[in-house]
Amino acid sequence: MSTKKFTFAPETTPLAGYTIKRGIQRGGFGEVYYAHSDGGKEVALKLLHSHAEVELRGTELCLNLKHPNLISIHDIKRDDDGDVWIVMEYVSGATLDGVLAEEFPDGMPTTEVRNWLKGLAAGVDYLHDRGIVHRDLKPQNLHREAGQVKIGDVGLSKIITPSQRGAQTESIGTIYYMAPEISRGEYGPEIDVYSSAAIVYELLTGHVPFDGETTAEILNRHLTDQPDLQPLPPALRPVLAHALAKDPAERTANLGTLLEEFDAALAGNPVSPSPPPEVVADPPSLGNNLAQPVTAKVISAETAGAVSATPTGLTSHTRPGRPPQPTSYDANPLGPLSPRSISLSRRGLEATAAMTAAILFSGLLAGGGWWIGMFDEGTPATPLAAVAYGLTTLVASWAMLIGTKAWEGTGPESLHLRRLSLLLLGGGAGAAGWWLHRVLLIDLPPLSETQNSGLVDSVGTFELVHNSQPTLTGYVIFFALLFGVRRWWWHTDSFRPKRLRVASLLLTLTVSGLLGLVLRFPLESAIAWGVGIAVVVQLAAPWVAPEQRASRVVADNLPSPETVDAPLNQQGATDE
Amino acid sequence: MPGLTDTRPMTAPRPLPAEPSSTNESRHLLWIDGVGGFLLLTGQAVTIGGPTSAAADIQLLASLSRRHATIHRDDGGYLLEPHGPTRVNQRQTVEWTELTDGADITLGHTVQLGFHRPTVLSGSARLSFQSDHRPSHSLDGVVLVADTCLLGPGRDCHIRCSEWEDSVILIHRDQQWLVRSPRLALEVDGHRLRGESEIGNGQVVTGPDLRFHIEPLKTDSSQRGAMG
Repeated sequence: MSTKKFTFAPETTPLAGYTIKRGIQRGGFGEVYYAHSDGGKEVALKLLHSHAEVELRGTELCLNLKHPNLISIHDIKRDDDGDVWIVMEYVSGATLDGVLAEEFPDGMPTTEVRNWLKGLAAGVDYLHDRGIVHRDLKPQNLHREAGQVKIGDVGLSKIITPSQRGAQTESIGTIYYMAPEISRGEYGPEIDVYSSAAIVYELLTGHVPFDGETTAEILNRHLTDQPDLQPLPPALRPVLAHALAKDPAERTANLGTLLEEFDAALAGNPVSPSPPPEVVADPPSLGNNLAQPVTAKVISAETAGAVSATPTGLTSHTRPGRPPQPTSYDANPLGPLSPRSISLSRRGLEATAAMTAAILFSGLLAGGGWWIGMFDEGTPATPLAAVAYGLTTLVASWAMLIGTKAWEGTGPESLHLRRLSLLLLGGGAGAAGWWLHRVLLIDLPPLSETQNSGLVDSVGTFELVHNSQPTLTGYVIFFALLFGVRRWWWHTDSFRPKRLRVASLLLTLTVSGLLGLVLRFPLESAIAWGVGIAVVVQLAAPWVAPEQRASRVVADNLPSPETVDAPLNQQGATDE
Repeated sequence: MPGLTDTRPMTAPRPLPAEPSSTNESRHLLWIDGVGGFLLLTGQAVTIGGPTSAAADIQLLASLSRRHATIHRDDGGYLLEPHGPTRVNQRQTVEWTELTDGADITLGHTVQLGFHRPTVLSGSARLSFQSDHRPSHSLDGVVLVADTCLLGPGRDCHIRCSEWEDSVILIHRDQQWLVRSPRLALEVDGHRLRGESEIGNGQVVTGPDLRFHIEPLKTDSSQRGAMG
């Protein structure tokens, strides 16, 4: 809460020519003061914090923009200490969040909402027309002075050209208004449409479309939940469903169009959006497909949980209550096959941490095995047998952790590549195991009677078993198949459903047992390695709790952690 | 200003008070971090006028007479004396009219002010700008200070500082501005506040998440910088 302290005292002149009168606000980007110039002009002075260089690029580009709905920037100056100040137009009117809280806690009349939307649309479409995406639209950034809507923080926008899409960013919008594609690092103009639609939703209802206890929960809901359209005036439900579409390609094209659709809906002649949304593809719950001609927009609103209300009166039914919809992020969680970008440094860090943990768990496993007498049947029954088992388990776990970490986040299209690489890594681990047992002179337990004749005795001229001990070929093939048959990324991915799944251990036990029988690999060792590796990699691999995954994905898409921390942690701190 | 001069003659049931005292002592600006800038007026009578009026205590950039209306404080109540076309609560008035909490004042055709007495514990009142007419600089309100001015999170404060933990009392006594807070630990120019302390000469008051100061407003040339 000490964030309200401002650096400079009133009546001081840290920037020559301007006398500070009071602080206006302090935020992640810097401090804003109200000041008078020597000539008596009132201005807002923004003092930029450390990451000023990044921000300046965006601000310089906006220095000469002129639009009645944008707060204009007069100049960028440096003081004697080298700090950067942005001299801006001072706007005295209340911010939209203040108006909402003070005057309309349960939502505004549609005419009032339209006034805000009109100014917002004019300003934002002007920016988009110049290739600039605002990226931080929120009620706190919208002012109204003398009836004119003024959009603030325009200097934080960045020029977006096609090649820069998804490139680095220095800020994230307040999460309540954050478009889902931002979690994939996409920052097209569509994110401003989404934010504006979320603002319009809030103005109409008095609450944001996606709320939650934690930052992560809100982010997840943007990604997976459909907005609850029930509290909205029926005519506006399809308009906002269109503008809040998850897929930027399906979203309302720009704010001018949103305003048109808003007006048309209120006037009773909704405009049909051009492309029919994909959601039409799950029609079973829609009893009104017969109700011709239902526009695609209305269908999309139906699937989004709205009661149908076609303006032409052709509505065939109204469904009471909400249809079953994912109400929590669990319904469509981020999992091992969710594509996402993971930095090389994070991969390295996580792999190293997991490999270190694997040492501990392999050691515990081997020690525990020795203690319960698991190696008594081997010859000789020495602690070395436990050491050989533990080291082999460790090497195999390392191979698996490295391999799966390398492919993590690549999505389902890499499945063949994943299997192939695991097959090779398994072969390598098998070779290492064979070599370890040779060097340490350890024999595995004898084959069980059922294994006297396996289904496979040899591969080509290479025997799998010699003197009732697996050969190098036996080791290599057993481990390669053990690695290749199971879907090990479900054991090691940060986004696996649970940290340790007992059910998957049982399946691994069965698979490794069957492999032992087929390949004439000593059964106890086969099972001990299969289950042992499964336990070690699951315990060692990092795991992110489902509710934290979305924020992790967002964080990974932002390059400079210090700038991300501010908004995310501010939110997070209140959760504790 | 055509239209403003052809008003009916005003009746003045009481003798017109002496010209409001636009002295150094009666007008101050209060600047509060994160909240806004406010004009503090301590005179018994406060005159509202247009931009060319040197005599007005509240000089608005608006199409008003030089002296358009005067608000008098009298026995703990407030009376509006119209000089130009004035409506109180949508009713045209040419006589002295009592102002009660929540009253709307319309001066000329477009200037709208709100009158507020948030608490009966203080004789002070607040004027809010409801149309977008302001003095030459953006102020967020005017406080007509009888004795005290309450700043704080509650609705009973003259100036609402919704993020403050508790309230602060500004006291105007013997031409001095004093500050006091029942529960907050405050500092005045960096010194721990015990009891009351004078702050009328630009001393900066700081406390948990709050900071403000009072700037004396002079009637000479330096007035131009702050009030126009």
